Amino acid sequence: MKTRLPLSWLLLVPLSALLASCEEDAPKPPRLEPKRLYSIGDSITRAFDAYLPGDDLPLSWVNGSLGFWQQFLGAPNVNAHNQRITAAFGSSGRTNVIGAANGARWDDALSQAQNGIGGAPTYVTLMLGGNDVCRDTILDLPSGEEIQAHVASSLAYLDQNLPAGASVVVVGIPDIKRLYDVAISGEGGFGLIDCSAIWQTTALGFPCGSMLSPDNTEADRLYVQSQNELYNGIIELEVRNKKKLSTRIHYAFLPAATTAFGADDISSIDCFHPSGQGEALLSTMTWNSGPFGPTPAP
Amino acid sequence: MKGALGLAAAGVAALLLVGMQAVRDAGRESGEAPPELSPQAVLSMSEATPHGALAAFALETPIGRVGPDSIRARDLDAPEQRALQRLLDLIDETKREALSRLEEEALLSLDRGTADAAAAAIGDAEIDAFLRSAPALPAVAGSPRELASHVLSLRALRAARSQRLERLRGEIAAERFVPGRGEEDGTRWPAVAARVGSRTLTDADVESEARVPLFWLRSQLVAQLGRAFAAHADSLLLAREADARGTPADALAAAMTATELAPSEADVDAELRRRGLAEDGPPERRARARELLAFRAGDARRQALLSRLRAETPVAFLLAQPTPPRVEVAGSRPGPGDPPVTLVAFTNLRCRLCAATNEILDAVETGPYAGSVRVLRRPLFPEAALPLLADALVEACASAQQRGAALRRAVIDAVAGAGPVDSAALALRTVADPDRFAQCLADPQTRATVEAQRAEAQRLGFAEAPGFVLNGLPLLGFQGRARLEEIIAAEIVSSAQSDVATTALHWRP
Repeated sequence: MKTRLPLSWLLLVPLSALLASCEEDAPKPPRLEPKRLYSIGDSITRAFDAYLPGDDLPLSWVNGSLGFWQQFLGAPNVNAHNQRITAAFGSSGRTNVIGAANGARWDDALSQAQNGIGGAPTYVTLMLGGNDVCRDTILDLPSGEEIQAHVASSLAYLDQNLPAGASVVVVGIPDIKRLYDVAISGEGGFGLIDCSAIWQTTALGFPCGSMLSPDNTEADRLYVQSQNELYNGIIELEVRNKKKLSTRIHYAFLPAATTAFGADDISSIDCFHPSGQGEALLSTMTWNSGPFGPTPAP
Repeated sequence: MKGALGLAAAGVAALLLVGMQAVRDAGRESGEAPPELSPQAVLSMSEATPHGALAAFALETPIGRVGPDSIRARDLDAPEQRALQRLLDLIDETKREALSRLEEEALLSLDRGTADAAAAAIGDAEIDAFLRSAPALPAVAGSPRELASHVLSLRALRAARSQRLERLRGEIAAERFVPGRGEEDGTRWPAVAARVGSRTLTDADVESEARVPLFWLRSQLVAQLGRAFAAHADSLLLAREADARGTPADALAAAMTATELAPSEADVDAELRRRGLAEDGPPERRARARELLAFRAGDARRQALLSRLRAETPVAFLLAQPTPPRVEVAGSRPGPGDPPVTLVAFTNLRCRLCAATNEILDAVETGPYAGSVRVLRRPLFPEAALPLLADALVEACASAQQRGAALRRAVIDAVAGAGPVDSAALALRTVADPDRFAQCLADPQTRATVEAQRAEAQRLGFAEAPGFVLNGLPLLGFQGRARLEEIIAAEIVSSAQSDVATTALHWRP
C-alpha cells in the first residue's frame, strides 16, 4: 500500500531544493582507494541470522568474505564490498574492520565512528536506523530532531578525523513495512514459511514490535513507515549537505528503501534480518550505486 | 505426470501466445501500433498443474484489471519490476541447477568405463596437514580430527566424482539447448532442454526434478505480484479521483491527512493504556501518540475513499496461486490401518527453530488430531556438518528403542543451558539397552540410512531444517501449530471424501 508522508517531511523538500540550487560541491582531495574498510552499523551489517544462527560475519554485505568453511558448508557468496575492493584494488594494504554492533541505533554512530578512527580507514560504510524504526512500541520512536542530531554529530566527527580523501557511504534504512508485507503475504501462498509463528517464538518478544506486533493496525504500520521515510529524508539531507560543504571527505547517500526485496531475501531463522541472499542483494545495490561502482549515485 | 506436464506446458505456451496476440489486437483496436515484443521484453513464466489450472504471466500480459483497464507487470514501479526480475532469475537458476543434476546423472548412467576406485582411507598425516593449514574450525565442531577426517573424505568423494564426470564429458556427446546466462532470449525454456548421448532431457524433466523449489518460488512470485498490483490499483484509483475532482493527486492526499480536530488528551490516555504504557510517562510518548492518532484519522478517510472507489470500479487480480506438487518421501507411504495424514518433518537436534518444531510436533501428535496423524522424523543438516550427522545417528538409534522423544527433550533442555551438549551421552541415559544402542551407532547401515535420508531431503528441495511434507505437500521452513493443524484438518476431510487429495488453497490478497 502506498504511504503518505507526514507534513514535517514537506519542510525538508524546500531545503533539499535549496541545496540543489547551490554551487557545486566544495573541492576535495583526490578520492583515496577504499583499501582500508570500516563498517558502522547494526545486526544487518553483522549478517545476524543470515545463514546460521547468530552473527554470520562472512556473509556481511560490507565485510563479508568467502572462506573455506563457507564454501564447504554451502553458504552463499554475498560478494561483499570487502571482496569487491580486493578484486578491484588488490589485496595489498587491505584492512577489513567491523565496527557494527547488534542492536545499534543512530545514537551509537558516534561511538562506533570513534572506535574505528585509529585504523585510519579510507572507506567507511554507515548503515543505521533499523533499530530506530524498530522499537518495542511505536510510541518510543525517536523524533526527527533526534535522528538529525545523531547523524550530524557522527558525520562531523568523521569529517574531521578521517584521512583526507576518504569516502563515507551512508546507506538508508530499508523499508521495514515491506518486511511485514512480504512476510505476511507469504502466508497467503501455500507452503511458504510461517513468519508470524516464528516471531511468536522469539524469546524477547516480537522483533520490531513497532512494526510486527499483532496489536498494530495497518494504519499503525503505515505510520511507522512514514517515520521510516522521514528518517531517510533527514539522513539523506545531512549527507548531501556534507557532500557539498566538506573539503576533506567524499560522501554518498545510497537509498535502501527503494530496494524491493522478496521473501528469499529474509532470514528463514527469524523472518526479520536479511538472509544470505538479502545480504548479497544489499551488497550489489550499494556497491553498484556507490562511488566505486559502475553507476554511482549523484 | 511428465506427459501431463508436457501437454500443459504446451497449453500454457499457447495461452501465452494468445495473450500476446490479445495485446497486439488491443493495440490495433485502439488505433495504436501494436507493441513490438522483442525477446528481451518478454519475460515469461508458465506453470502447468496436474489439475489443469494454468497460471501464466508475462511482462506484457495482464496480471489484473482496474475497471476496464488491463494492468501488466510492466506497469508496476521500477523497484517492483526489478524484484520480479530477480525472482524470475532465481526460477531460471533453479531450473539450470536441476538440469545440471540431470545431465550428470545421465552421464553417469551411460558410463561404460570402470567406476573410480573407492577413495583411500584418510590417514593421520593428511589430517595433520589439513589441521595445520585449514582456517579455524567453526564453533559447531566437535573433535577437530574427526571433523577433519570427515571433511577430507567428502572432498575426496567430490573430487573423484568431478574427475569421473570430466572424463565422461570427453567421451559422451552432450548438448544443451537452453540459452546461456546472459544471452538475451528471455527466460522461456525450450521443450527439449539438453541431450546427453542418447538421452533426451526435456523441460518437463527439469520441472519435475525441481518441482518443490519451483513451486515455492512461483508462490512467492504470485504473492509478490499481488502485493504490487494492489498498491498500483490503489494509486490508480486515487489518481483518477484526483483527476475527476480537478485537483493534483498530492493535494488530494494532503486534504485527506488534514485534520480539523486534534486528538484529545483523553484519546491520548486511551492509546497509552491500550499499549500498556503509563499515562504519565515521558512527554515524547504523548506527542508521538497524538501524531499517531492524527495519522490514523487521515488513514481512515483514505480507506473510506478507497472503499468507495473500489465499489465503483471493479479491481481484479487475475493470477492464481500455483497448486502445490505432491511428493513422496521414501518410507512414508501409509499402509493399511495407518492414519489418514502422514507428516514428515525434516529436523535436527540443534537448529534454532527445531526445538520449537519438536514441541509443535508433540502437540500435534497428542492434540485434537491424535490418532489421525502419523509423524515421521527425517534428518536434515549440511552434508559437511559432522556434529549434526553424529546427532542424527544418535537420534536414529535412540528412536529404534522408542526413546527418540526422550532424547529430544533432553537435548533441548541441555542446549538451553550453557556448555557443549553430547547427544550420545544423553541418549545413553535414556535407552533401555545401551549395548544395542552402541551397536546401532557403529553399524555402517545406520549411517548409510541417515545419509540417504538427508540426501533425499536436499534432493526434494529442502535446504535447511525445519521443513515438512504433509501428505505429500511440501511446506517450506518453520510452520506454526495452527497452520499445520489447518492443513491436517483439510487433508482429513479430503481423505474422508475419498477424493483425489487436494487441499483448498485460498490466496488472501
